[in-house]
Amino acid sequence: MFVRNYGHALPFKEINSLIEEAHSAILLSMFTIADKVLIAFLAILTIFSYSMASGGRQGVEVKIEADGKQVGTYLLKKDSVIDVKGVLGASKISIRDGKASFLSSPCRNKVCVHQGEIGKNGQIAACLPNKVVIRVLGGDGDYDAVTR
Amino acid sequence: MMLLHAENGSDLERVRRNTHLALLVALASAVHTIEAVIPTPVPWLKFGFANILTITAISLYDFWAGLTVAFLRVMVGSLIIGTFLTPSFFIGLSGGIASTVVMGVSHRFFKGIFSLVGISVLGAYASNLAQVVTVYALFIRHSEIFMLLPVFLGFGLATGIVNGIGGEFLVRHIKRLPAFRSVV
Repeated sequence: MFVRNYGHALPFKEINSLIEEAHSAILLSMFTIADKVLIAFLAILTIFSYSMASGGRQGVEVKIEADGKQVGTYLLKKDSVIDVKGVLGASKISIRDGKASFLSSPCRNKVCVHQGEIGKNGQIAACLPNKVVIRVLGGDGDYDAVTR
Repeated sequence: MMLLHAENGSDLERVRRNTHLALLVALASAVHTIEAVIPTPVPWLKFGFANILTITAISLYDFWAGLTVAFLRVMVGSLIIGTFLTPSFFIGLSGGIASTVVMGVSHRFFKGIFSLVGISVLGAYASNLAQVVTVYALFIRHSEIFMLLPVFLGFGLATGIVNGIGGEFLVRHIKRLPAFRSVV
């Protein structure tokens, strides 16, 4: 749009054709109809599954597991800090205001710490390198399936 | 300058294919390595720009070319970053192979219907699905891990579209190069 076409004056024909290509890309001309249908379908599917997964109730307790073994279950309404011994070392888990989170962990990436607080039923936070998993349990949605 | 001695045309085609695939593997490994440095909101989520080279290989040649690029890219890339045989290596390998299989099959059968964008989006979904299943099967045996799936899939849709556009660009450009003229 803002690229002036110098026509024959432009020394590099390659550049000119590249600019044309860029314009066609911006206009999404490379998308076929099937592409658009596919993208729309997958977008709707993703949004639908997101609303299904995120619709949880506030949990009651948090279950902590280290190296596949259960360490303990703690009430979410009682604030506390728990040290859990994992494969690499101790992970600090805090429970505050009905939410649990990793305070620190001896892993390299700190994925678990960045994951933030979890408090809804079924939510999970994990430190893969240290093999520590915490998950929120309880509340109204604590069924595998509901039939009517 | 490279000199080739080829007895006949099919020999030349084979050498040419291997040379091009080697270049694509080298490029993909470099992209894979650079990408490891780029920060993302969650370290598990990656843009997967290296997939552009896999798409290119599938589009220029066939499924096996794409699988070669994807497999060697994960191998070489993980050796450079230092994640070889760690969880993230297996997660990346499963995602790479799954997406290549899906992209190869969809390119084979829906070539005229989907552009590379559609094929790339399908590949991104397959990749993310395979990665979550791998995490479940090997590392965290809790079905709650599938709650993360919508986030991964939504991210995959965006990166799939971007990578597809990138692949489409690259293929269009490559097909005009003299070195690839006989291929297409």
